[in-house]
Amino acid sequence: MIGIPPLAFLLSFCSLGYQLVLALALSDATGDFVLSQTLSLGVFLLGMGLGAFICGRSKREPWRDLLKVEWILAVAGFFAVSYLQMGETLLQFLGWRQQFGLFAMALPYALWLGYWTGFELPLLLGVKSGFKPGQVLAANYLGAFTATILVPIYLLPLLDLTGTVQVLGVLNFVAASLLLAPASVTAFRTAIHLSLGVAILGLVRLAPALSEVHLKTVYFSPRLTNEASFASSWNVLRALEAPIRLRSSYQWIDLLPPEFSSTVQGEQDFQIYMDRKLQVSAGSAQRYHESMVHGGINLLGRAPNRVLILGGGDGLLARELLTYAEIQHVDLVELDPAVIQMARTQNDLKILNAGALNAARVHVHTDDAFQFVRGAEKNYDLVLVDLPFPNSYDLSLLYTKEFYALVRRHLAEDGLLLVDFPLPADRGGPLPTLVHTLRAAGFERLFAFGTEDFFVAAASRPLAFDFETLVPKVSNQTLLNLISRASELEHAEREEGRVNSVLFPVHFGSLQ
Amino acid sequence: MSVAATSAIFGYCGLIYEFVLAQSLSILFGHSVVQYSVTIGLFIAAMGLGSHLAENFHDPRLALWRTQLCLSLLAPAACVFFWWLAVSGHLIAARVVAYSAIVGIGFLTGTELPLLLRLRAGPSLGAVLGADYLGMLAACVLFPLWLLPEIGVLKTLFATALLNSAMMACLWPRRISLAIPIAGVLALLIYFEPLIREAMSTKLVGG
Repeated sequence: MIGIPPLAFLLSFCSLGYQLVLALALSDATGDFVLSQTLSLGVFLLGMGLGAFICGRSKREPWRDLLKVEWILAVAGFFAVSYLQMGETLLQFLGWRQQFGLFAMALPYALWLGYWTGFELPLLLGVKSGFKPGQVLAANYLGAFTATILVPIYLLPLLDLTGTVQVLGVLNFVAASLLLAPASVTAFRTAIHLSLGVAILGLVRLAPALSEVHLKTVYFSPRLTNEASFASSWNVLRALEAPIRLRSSYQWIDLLPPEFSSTVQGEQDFQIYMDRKLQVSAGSAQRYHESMVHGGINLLGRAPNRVLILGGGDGLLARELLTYAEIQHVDLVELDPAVIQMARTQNDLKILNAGALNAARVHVHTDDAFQFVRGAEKNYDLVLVDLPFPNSYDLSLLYTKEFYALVRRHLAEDGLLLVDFPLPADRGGPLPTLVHTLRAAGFERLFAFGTEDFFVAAASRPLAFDFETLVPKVSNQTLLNLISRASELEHAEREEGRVNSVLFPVHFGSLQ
Repeated sequence: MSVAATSAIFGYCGLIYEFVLAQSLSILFGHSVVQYSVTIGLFIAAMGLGSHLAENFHDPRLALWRTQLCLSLLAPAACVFFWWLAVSGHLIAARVVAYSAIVGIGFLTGTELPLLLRLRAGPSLGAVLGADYLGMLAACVLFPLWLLPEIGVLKTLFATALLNSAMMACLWPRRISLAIPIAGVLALLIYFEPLIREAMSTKLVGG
């Protein structure tokens, strides 16, 4: 017979693990990290409250009820990710691409998981076992502790979402099997229990195929709007080579093969998405990186000596910078080692960045950009900020006045900061906040440009392009992008907007 | 005051402290995935220890009153202290204080529920636990969607400590003379929060 504290540990480990994975799967689908985490954890806790309350309303047979609860949780947890993937695939095919559909699907599931999880602790405390409530609670907390450490840091990078819930589901099934003896279940029912468990485990073989269809559908979805018939879309989709998905400790990295984009967008293009947001595209890479590097250096008015790249682990900005012989030192700061590894080894990407990360003038640092600028010792002539947009509070830190003020302290007197921002929206949008934040950090002069990609430059002196020197440097496509957006900037400055700061951050929501 | 309502407030305060600490650590030490996991992990482990040792206290009401006293003083003092250490560049000292604060606040939070379960006379075990989860629900929706972006990290911290001092008064009305000055100091801190925030911010960027 199993002791109550280890059981309490195991059960809370599995339940919290399901919750963590479900929250992450929902963030992946909706792109709004804050809302997804908050609502799924909230609804899960609400479910726990309900469950604990309902459990206390009537007389219970702790062992038998616990066995029932664990069966429900093991099955629901085991299929949590597949359910969400199937649901999202269906929503894509139906053409409902609002976040609402995803939340409407995932939150009741989190509530259901939470509801049955809520039964666990009162039932365990109800067993007459000689253990004090404090000891059972302690084991329960310890299980939760282990899940919050083990799941995001170790299990997810290793097994991704599907694999993680499968492992948790099996553990949960083992826990349920341990309850058979104390619940005094008959031999016949024990046999049913075990064979049913093994049969469900056999369904594991379907999961990779489902994940593949899901991932294909996500990137195929722009095409689904134009396609008339479901059957023809489905046939095209089935024939396509699947995107490659990697899970790093920080994000999902999806590599799209060229034929994928040629089918979806009509042109061959090698693309890399991080957390489903386009980060590298062979087709537009030249425009984006030429605009940032040559545009930035042109605004600076001289070839820089020392340059800092924050983000940009793909190595494409570094490659463009290396075309200037005057640049002696480039520091590149990227948080995710998986991105750097990919930039150094993945063939298509190596062709794009020409091995820039291995150049002697480029110094790669695997670090948090905020911490790097806090500790930086030298000054830079040019700082290029190529970071993901602030979809979460973590990323929002890299758009605060403190961050920009730290960068400003490490700029040469005539130095220039150039930041990639989301394209300005007609109404709302984050631009006013970002502009007010740059101002609060002490930058006196701002300059915005870019029609396809949008950049804001900040310095302490007036800024303008010198097209005479700029035109020979860039391609025609880039030149069309290097158009001043002074009116949008002026408009943003006039609009009300909070200053984003570390102790008083702004919630930006999902930005593309 | 009813045991279920108290349980909800305890659940709320515990989770808010956890969020404030996790957010502070990711601002000050970077690598927020790790900081969040470490904070929540340490906090929950300390809660486990707290709930384990709570069985040793004889008078649950007195012990709860003391928990609220310690939380209302320790939580804001420790947080402001490690913030100040970190923004002035004493990063190792700041980490030591921050991790001690996580363990201390987690421990105190962990003792609350078992003590409260011993005080329970009317409501069922499930109702008390259910109320605790509801308090946590309120915290985890309010913190990222309202408290963090509209109130800010520090004001949220002080207001939560103020709630702890109010609980002191509820648990032991006759000793209200001790709860009032603590509440007064916390109210002053809330009033002057913009000044403290700006001072931290200036110090952080090395001004």
